[in-house]
Amino acid sequence: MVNPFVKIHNEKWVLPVSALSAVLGFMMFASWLTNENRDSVYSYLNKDQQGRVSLDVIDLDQYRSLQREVDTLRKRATELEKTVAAKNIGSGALNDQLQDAKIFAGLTELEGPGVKVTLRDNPKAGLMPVTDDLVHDTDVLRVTNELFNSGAEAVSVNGQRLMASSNIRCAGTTILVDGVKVANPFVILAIGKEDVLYSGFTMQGGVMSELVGASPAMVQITKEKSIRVPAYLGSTSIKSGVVPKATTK
Amino acid sequence: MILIPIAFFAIGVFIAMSMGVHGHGLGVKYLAVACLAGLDTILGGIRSGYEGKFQNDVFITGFITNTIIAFGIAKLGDKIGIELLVVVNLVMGMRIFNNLSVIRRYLLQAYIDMMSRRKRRVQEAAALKESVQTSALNTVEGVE
Repeated sequence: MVNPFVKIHNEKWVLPVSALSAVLGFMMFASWLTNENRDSVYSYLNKDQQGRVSLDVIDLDQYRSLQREVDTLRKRATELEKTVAAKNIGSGALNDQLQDAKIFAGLTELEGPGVKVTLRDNPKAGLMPVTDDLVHDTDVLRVTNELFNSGAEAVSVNGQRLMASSNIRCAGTTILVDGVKVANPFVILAIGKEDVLYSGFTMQGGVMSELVGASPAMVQITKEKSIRVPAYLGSTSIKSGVVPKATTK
Repeated sequence: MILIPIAFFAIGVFIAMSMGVHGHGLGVKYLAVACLAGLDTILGGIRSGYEGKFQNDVFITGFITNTIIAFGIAKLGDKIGIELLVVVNLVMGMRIFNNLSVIRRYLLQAYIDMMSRRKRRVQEAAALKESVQTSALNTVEGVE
């Protein structure tokens, strides 16, 4: 066996090449993709969606407990308004108007006949779903829009009540309804005349016929005799606007 | 001879590992392209070493400028919205395969030479043994 270190002196290329190989090894390890840095190198979402995913992180447990607190406080407020109305003569009519306004604003639970729409990702899509196999924020938005158009009085998405300033948008693999993450499958409850809602939704060339493109299993609609839609439990504070004092003529 | 750069490569990886270096963000993408350029230069150095044309200064400046230019082109491509990164990858990939094929031919030639030398040595040894035996036989015959 020949000692390899004797031959290195004769071949002057070995040492510089070896030194720079070490540098190359260092560089390659530094650029190695790991699970931690993959998302930062190749962003699968576009920039504003990435921002939403990182910005809209909320502590869900804390949010739920706060929601329960809001629920009990609003119910107590309703009770107090009713007792005040019962004791003071003349304020009954005022209270009725107040309760109507609260129902319209979505601040109370509502019960009645309606439809239940279930949107789910295509179950037969396999490991590489194409865009038609997934339920997008725009799909949910169009379904709720269609239901309101057919005369729905109250609509909720996965237990999130929609009210006047509700928003639905996309955040990666989930959808944000008023900033709260909801995920597939999406159960949309709507109170209204169930026949009108049903036929408006299943109408030829309507929303449903566009949504069932990939698979009919993605959209289901059933008429319900009685459903309960929860109250809106988010913030209702008005910060910028004020009601003008004098009416302009 | 070719095992020494490979061993140093492993040492470089080990040093990076022990230092806990991890790239983050878009720089990793450009650094990967720079790595490809570096690999090409290293293979080119080995090739010129086998060809006997190796020059130290040419090799080292080639390594540095190639990596920097590859990094810069990849970054520029992202800035101006053209995938210049793919161009660098294509050119560097072709050069890497060229260099590898030349190196492989040299290694194969060295292996064939070694085998034929060993074969000749075995033959010579056998011939020597035979001649010794026949001469011994002759001497024995001579005694009789």
